Amino acid sequence: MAAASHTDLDDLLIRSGSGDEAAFRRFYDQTSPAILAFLLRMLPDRFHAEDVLQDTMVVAWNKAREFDPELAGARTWITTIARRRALDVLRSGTRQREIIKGGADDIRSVLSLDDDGSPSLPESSVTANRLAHCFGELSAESAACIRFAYLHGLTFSEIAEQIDRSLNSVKSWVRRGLAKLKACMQS
Amino acid sequence: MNYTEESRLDPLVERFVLGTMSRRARRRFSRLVDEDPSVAARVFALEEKLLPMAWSLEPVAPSELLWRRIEKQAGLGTSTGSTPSARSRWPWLATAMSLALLVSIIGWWQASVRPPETLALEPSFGIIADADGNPLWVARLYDELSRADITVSMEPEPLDMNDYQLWLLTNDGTPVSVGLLPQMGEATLALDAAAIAAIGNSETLAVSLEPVGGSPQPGPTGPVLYTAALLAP
Repeated sequence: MAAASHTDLDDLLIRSGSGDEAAFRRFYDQTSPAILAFLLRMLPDRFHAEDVLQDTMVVAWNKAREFDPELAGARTWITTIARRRALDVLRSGTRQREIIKGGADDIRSVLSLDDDGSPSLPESSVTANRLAHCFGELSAESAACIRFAYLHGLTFSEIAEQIDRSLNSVKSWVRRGLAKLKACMQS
Repeated sequence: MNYTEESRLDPLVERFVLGTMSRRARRRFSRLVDEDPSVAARVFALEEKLLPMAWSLEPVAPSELLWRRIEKQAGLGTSTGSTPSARSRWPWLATAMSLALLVSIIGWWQASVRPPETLALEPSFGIIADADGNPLWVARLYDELSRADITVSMEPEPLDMNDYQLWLLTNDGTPVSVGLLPQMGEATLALDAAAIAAIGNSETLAVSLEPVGGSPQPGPTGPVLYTAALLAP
């Protein structure tokens, strides 16, 4: 599915903030499948994921008039709300799940990189390509730890447990990886 | 800790965006993000860089029912709901009407109009799950509407001689009754003053097994079967 351009989504969200319900429905249609996809990565099941998506969209409707496209694009804005809500659920103790759903196969998919050393990022925007390139510059450990945290909502301790490494090593890989990632994205 | 010190801010922003902060630290930092535009800008800048990771996954269509649930909770499709547009018109109204007229309208409104059930409010909510993690009930607590909406997600063990009772555990450990939980379908519970006051002073929900009709005492008399976190709006 091709994602809507940032400009289109920004416009829909701005109109939603003015009370345009039809615009908000279109915003929901264009964003909810992508948001549900990553919520399903973070949360234990579809029930929790759809519940968080519901709350995310209600917050989005209520706060749409505060949206400032100069500060962040609509996709970033809505994704940030959804991730914060999902992390609330994860850290609340309601999580009763295999930490990485799908077991060993999914762990391999998180740890593995493509043949050229970059993670699989099918989105074709310039930013996505840049991120894919920059991920390729990271050590495999740093790339895996960042993806574990961001996509699966794992804590440092949970990552350490998953990859059987020390907590300090994980913290160090994430810190160094993010620093390198940010420098690469800005270059 | 002084969060705004430059050297300390970036690592905190990184941990916040990745989600590796402790729950308490994340709450504190969330407030800072909401209050300080410069911190929010740093958070969004990093989110923007990492966004393709989240948006590169294969999209999954939500269930058909989800939009209807959102419409209901957000008060969409009604002319009386507190939509963003309705709220944003208030400054215009204030300048267009004389102060006396505005005061009289507010007075009339307060005296005669009960808040509509479709107000776009954000509830505190909790998901009550069994020991295997199966969600049994979803509770949405609206202090401003004095009500709790309860949805049975998976029917609990059926009870004939008892009821399931929902409690708020305040931060000093006092249980405050919310009401009896439905064993199927949905229910709306009216909240009394004690429950309304407890919502803002509680991070935990509890379910106890009680005689039919509920506990005869101010606290639970039967065993506490389940607990769940109560998430603030």
